[in-house]
Amino acid sequence: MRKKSVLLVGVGLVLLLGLVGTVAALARSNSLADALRESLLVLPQRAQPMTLAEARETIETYAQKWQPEAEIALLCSWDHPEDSPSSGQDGRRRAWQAILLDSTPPGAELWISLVDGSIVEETEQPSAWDLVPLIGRLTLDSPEALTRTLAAKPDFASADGKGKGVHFALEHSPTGSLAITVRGAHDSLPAIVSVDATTGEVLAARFLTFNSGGILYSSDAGQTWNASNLTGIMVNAIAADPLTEHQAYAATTQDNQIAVYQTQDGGKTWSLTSSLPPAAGDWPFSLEAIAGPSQTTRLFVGTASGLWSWAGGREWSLVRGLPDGPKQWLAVVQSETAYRLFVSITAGKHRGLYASTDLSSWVKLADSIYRLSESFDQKTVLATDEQQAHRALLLSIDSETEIEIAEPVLHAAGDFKGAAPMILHSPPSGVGRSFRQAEKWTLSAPVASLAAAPDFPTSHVAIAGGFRTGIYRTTDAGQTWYQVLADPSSVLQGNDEIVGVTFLSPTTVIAVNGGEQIWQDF
Amino acid sequence: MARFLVGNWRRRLWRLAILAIILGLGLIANRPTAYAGSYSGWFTGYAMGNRYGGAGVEIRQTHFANHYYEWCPNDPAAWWGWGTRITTSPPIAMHDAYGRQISYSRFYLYDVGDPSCSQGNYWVDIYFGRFKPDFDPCDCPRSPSPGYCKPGAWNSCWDAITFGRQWRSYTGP
Repeated sequence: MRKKSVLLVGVGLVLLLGLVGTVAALARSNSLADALRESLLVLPQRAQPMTLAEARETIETYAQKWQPEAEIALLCSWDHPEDSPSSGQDGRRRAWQAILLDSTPPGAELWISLVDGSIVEETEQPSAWDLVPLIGRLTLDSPEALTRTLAAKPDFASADGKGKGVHFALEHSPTGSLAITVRGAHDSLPAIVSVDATTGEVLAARFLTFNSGGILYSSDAGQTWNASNLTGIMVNAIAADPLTEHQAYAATTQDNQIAVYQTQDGGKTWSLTSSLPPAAGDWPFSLEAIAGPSQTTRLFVGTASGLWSWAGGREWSLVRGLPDGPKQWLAVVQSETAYRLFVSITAGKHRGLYASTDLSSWVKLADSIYRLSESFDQKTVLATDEQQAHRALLLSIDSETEIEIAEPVLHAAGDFKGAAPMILHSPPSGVGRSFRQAEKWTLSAPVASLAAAPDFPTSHVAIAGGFRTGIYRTTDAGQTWYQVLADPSSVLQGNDEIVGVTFLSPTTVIAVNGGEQIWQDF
Repeated sequence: MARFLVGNWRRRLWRLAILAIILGLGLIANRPTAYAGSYSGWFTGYAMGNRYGGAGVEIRQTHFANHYYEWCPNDPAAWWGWGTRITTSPPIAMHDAYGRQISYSRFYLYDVGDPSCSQGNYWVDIYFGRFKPDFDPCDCPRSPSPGYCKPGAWNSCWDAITFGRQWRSYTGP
């Protein structure tokens, strides 16, 4: 009897745990049906990669159980948590996603996830009526499609990031026949190769890149804007020359390399100064200019490969002494005779904030990831943690002070020492100003960049570069804003994300209109 | 259920054990790889634009974009894989090809954007569709122009503009 009681208690405990699990699943799900599906269908599985044709067959069988007339309208592989960059190199994937279409009014779509041969998730939604069923015979399967792809495009590669390895999708070709899209990378950017599923012909090969974009300039402190000659190019970062008014630099992504341009006339015309070596990669995160010894300008470009430096002439060199990791954000404070360069390493085991006054010895100031904003006079830098309020560092040429800010901050401009207002871009609150411990949120439009004029304490002029919302200007240090340019692409074609703004003098200011993403043939 | 549990002790124990195993599967559904994280970030919207998103799949309603790991290594969400599902509450309304309003709460990651990482971590760009009436341009501020559009009674760009930018919480990986 006692033995039975112990057994009963044991079973009862397991039962209780099961109930807790089911309740937890229910809490995450939208319905009891979803909870039961997650409870009963998400089982640990042996890895069972499938080809596209095998996945299609499995899902077609499932479709008939859902609705007799249902058809597959989307079928593509997607990342499984255990995938690696080598996944899919045999034409097989563990995880597939599909949409089944019930074309009988009122119409519904059933989202299917197929993992290791089992349907593991489904969501029924109203149909948007934009899908066409993928009907037709496959002569080719994903392994053959990959073979054809690699034969035609040897520089097609596995991806390692958002998409792990090689992925596949079934779609309609421009002629209406079925095509297998092989998805991977080209020069570390997303790439697709479309292969006719009947003939095996390679129909298209494209990679995701940028076109358009460039630099706008203003000669009246941001009231009116014009197109510069630096157009049709992805400009990643800009920096004003600290020694010469109306002079500035721009780091661009161009032909798989980082190229740096210079203007000497307030942003109107730009010319190529130099290109970084291929080892630097093709994506400049940020650009900084400092006044070096003997009154020469020294440039720095932060990349995934390191911090690169240029001091005139032709050669760029890698700055030594910094640990590995992407040098995503740079900022500098400078005086007449000295400078202090700050570098934010934003990923990897060495992430944190680093500083140097001689470029040979670096001091780690913090372990957190900080965004960096320069004050109007480049005398201070505000380092902010976008995830947490109250965690900001005020950095000067010889000190770092923790300061309290009520909101987390993405971008800042103005005066950080309190003599004049500070303008802030906060994730939950928008753009506003902080002055004498009073904060006021004054611009709700999405912005991507901020800059204050060099004479900000007296002029109170600042510019906010909109995120697809134009360009805004304030003349009262952020109390009120007015839109000075509604459609930047009407001046210079781009994606309307004004990702950089920099004053070159109290009246001269430049802004970056980001590049549009396009699929380009390769 | 009552009948299921009647009988002698031994049989009842076996039945209880089977029931416990079935319910215990609920625990497995609670794996860390399930959609258990909660996040907050700016939500923006776009429409029309490229036919294919960064994942190489045709972009449609219920898809979204976020940061790309090569451009924004600072953002943990930039490393989420293609097909990642997020759930928003309240749902987001948009219109189908016939102009009828549909509200979606589940969105799948199939595109990338904001290469300058200006919108902060966990940014989400919701795709509102590519429908447009015959005589409207296939264009929407903030999307590559000319885009790829489909005929519809409603202009998807209106939904994207109406949505604007919102600070939202959502669940994801």
